[in-house]
Amino acid sequence: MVLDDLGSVREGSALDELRAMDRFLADVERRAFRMADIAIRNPDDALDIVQDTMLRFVRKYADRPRDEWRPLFFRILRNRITDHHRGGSVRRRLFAWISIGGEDEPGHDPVAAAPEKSQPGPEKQAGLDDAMRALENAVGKLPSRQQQAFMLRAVEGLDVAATAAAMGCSDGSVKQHYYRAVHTLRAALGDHWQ
Amino acid sequence: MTDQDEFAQRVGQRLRDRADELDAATRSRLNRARQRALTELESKRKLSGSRQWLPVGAAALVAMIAIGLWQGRGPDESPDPLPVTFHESVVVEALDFEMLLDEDAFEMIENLEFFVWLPDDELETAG
Repeated sequence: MVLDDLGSVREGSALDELRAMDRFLADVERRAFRMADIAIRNPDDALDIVQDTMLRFVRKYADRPRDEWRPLFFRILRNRITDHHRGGSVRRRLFAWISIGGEDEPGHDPVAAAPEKSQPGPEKQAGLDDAMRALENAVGKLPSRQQQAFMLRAVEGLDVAATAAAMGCSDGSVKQHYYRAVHTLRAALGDHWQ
Repeated sequence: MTDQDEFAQRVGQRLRDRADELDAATRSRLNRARQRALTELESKRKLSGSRQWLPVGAAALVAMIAIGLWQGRGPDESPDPLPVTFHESVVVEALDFEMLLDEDAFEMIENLEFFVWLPDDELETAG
């Protein structure tokens, strides 16, 4: 009887936890995707990165207090984006080496020849207003740390401490990166957003 | 609020709105990714739940074995004055037979009251 009660309490608790995790992931997934897409300019890879982030998060941090979930999730996302950038640069170096060593197609660069997925199609392109495109381009061109600080503070709404936890740096560094990002964006966007 | 704060707030809100304007295909893929993560979490919880009962099951098994051994050993532990080996039983029976054949033994049985009355030291002297 007691074991049955304990079992039902455990089942109820597990169900609550699943629901809480579902709500959390549903809340962050779209902004996480936008963050990854702006950072790497490739929607397919951005989706893969968000999916991988979700899996790693539930494996490692589902037991952590819920108020820690958001910075931890975005910390994993940041690491995955960084890994993607590193992998990309390794791929580029590797293909460049193959291209130099290969005699079949001299001067051929597979990366440059690959279809550019980050460019939206004509319909999507038409739907984007100039201001939005300018904004996303400007954010995408920010240095990585400034971009992270800006996205986490201004878009995700994390405070300085949570942003520092997500970025793995000090509060002072967050303030500095954020200040520079806002300054750069204001200068870059000019008339669109003043 | 400074100009910079207002600017950041406006830009941040626009980027949040943009995140909510994702196309159906992307939303669907995000939903599938989330469901996969939740399935993984659920199976992780079930596994850890069954593991949590493992010590209880092991303790119950040990208790059952201990009780079984305790009950099984009860009669064996009672004192048993009888010889337990075949050799010992043969020796005891032979001694009993010898006593029965001994003439002194018959005399002792016939005069049992006298030998009981006789003090031990005199008995030793007489023997």
